[in-house]
Amino acid sequence: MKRGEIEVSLVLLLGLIIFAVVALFFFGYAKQVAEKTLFEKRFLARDLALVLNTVQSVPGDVTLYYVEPSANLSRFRYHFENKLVTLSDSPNEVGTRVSYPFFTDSSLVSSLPSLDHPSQLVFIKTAHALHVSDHEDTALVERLSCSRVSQLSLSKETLVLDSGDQMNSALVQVTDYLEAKSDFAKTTRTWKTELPENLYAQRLSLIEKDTSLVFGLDIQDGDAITVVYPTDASSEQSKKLACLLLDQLAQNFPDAVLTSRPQQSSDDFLRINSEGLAVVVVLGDESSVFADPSRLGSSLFSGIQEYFKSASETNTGVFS
Amino acid sequence: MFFCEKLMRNRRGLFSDISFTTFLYIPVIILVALFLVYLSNQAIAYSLQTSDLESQLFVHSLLLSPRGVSVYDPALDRVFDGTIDLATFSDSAHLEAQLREAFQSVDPPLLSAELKLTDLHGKSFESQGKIVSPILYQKTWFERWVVLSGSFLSGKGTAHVYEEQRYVFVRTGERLVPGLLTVRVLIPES
Repeated sequence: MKRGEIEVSLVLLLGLIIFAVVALFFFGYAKQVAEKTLFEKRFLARDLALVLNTVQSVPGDVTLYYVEPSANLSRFRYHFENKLVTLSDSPNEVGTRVSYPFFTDSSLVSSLPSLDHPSQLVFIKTAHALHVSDHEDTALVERLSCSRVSQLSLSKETLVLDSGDQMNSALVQVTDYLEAKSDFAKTTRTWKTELPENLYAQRLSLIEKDTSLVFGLDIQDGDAITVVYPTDASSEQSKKLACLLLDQLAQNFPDAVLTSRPQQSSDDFLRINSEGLAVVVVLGDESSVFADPSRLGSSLFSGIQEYFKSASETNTGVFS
Repeated sequence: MFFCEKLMRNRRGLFSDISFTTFLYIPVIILVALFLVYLSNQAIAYSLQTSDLESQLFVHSLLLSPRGVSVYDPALDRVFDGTIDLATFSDSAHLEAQLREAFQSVDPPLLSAELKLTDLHGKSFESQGKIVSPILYQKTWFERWVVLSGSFLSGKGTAHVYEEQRYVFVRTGERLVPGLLTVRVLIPES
């Protein structure tokens, strides 16, 4: 074979490869257009961005059920991250992703989890929160709406961390995390030093009159996270704190089962002082949140911090 | 026949002819394919044009949102829709920062806007002896896009201009006077 022939063949081969790549790209694109997925994705991305902008601009509370008859919602996955509505075909992102920007209001606590092939989208907006889900969550609506209560301006900042009766390593990690973040924390149980028989009396002795917040952690059966608050005069404020805690947990653990409820007569784990705030976060022992104790700790810390944010404008800060 | 004779006579020449012809077609095919993709993309984008709606929604949001330009009473949790406090509006730096927080967007943003408050005759208000200057939402981008919006060309690289006017009340101390809010929204073509 002559040298010139080899050079010419290589050029031909290169041309064929380029042609094949272009043909594949073009046919892939034509297939998407033929299946209408590209058009549907763009339509839905823009429409959902407009819906998000609209519900955020509503002055009051709103719950909007989004069922678009001209498009098949359940064909796609929906992400609401980085101020973009993004639609994709599958979790492994084989298909083309289509994104469109939307506005976010920084004053709203957003809970915008990714949704896999939902049959409908439910947008819930309250005075302080924005949530998107694939089903109506009555408990969530109630939880978000209770954020309307204004925080008290607290004059004394003392936190009692009550880490419960259980010797659970994740619980201890969460307690340690919260203790490290607080200047005024008094932990009722360090589990390394305290003896079980002294525990109850010692725990009660730490709750003093000037205690602003008694923050309890407990473990029970089940997979739900329940925030329990008292039914006395401070219940509105405690309920507010419960709301903020659950808002933070919802953002960080979108798949977790979250509820809140007032204290019942059978609850013996909620300890309060005469005037202060008190909540107990009851963690189900089968809850997925235990897989990431530091994230759980930071979520709870953010919830407490959110509560004290307005109070700290007039007082010295409680949390670092 | 001619082909076979040529093949027998000069194989190098034959390959040269084929490769040259093929080589010419490759960029043409690529260009045609890309042009078809561009055309269909443009057709989809044109049929899904939402800029006009987005600009109207933005103006509504400005007037209805607690963090917009209307007077908001946090104690009552009530927005006085269409009532603008002149003192707040004249503090352009604060209001521009507030709008950026209330309408956080990707970078570059979805839109930028200029808000101008005048009386019904188009005359600017004065506050503390100074003329109240327009408020710019996404100031940097507005200043860039306003140049592009003047282009006679259309398509990517240009910007649409939408102008909306709303009659409002302007609160000056204890008095409410009628006014006109003109919002010029710039949306880049994408």
